[in-house]
Amino acid sequence: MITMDDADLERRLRALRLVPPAATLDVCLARAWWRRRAVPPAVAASIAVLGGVMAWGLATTSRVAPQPPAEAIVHARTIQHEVEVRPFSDAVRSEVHTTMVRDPQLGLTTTITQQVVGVRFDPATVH
Amino acid sequence: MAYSAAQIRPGRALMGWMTSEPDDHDRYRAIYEHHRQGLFTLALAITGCAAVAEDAVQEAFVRLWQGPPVAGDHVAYVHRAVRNAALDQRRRRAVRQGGDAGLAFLAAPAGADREAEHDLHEAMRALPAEQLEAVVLHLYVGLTFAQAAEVLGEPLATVASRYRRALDRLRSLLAVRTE
Repeated sequence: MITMDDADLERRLRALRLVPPAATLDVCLARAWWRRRAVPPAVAASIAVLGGVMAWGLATTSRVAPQPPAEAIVHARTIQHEVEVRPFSDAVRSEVHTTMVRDPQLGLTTTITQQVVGVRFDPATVH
Repeated sequence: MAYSAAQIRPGRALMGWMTSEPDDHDRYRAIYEHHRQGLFTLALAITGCAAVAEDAVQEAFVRLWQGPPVAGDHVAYVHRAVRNAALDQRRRRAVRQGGDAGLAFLAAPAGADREAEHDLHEAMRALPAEQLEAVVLHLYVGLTFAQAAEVLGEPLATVASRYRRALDRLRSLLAVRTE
């Protein structure tokens, strides 16, 4: 009969080999972890994108300042309304733009000029 | 420290996500990295199936990540969560415990000491489930008796007594085999 003390028995029991966990467990937990962690970054990214768009919008809007005098805006709208019914002409587009900026009576600002840029019309009809 | 059922109950994902601290997540990760073998062994000893045991461990950690922060011994808490998840899995999947299920966490005897290992396996298979669980938690999972008591929700003296009786029984069984 072989006798053994607790320490010896524990040593023998500890020496038994254990079944190791599969590597897939780590992968599954990592996926679960990132699924868990993925929500806040996604929300943060969305907020960042929205914030960026808003900032861009604000920056774009701020570029139109300073605002032109009220009478100048009214006059520009009137011109635009008039030219829209005239025959189109690509060749005079820039000329029209320049003419309007140089107009001392209207005192057109860049903002007002941009409102009419792209509208193709005959410059002769402006004055 | 004993935990109430509410503390280890799954669910409340949104509340848990809002309330749990990043420190807890990092702590759980560290515990997993350090105790992954023990956690898997515990789950495997309960479920008797490696795949089910892995599911139990994963489920437990997902619950922990989603749950509220806890105070006290995180190691014991995580093991308790894994044990509960393994018991849930066993009930859910109707994994039958019996035969070799209780020793599924041990690799098959091999090598020069194959016969001695086989004797140990046979002796352990004869242990009552409660005693075997005490042996698993203390020897193979590596918990202290205090932690094992916390995991099992039993008094420390009860767990230590089960372990003591398990060693005595194993010793007597092995003595009979070697006579």
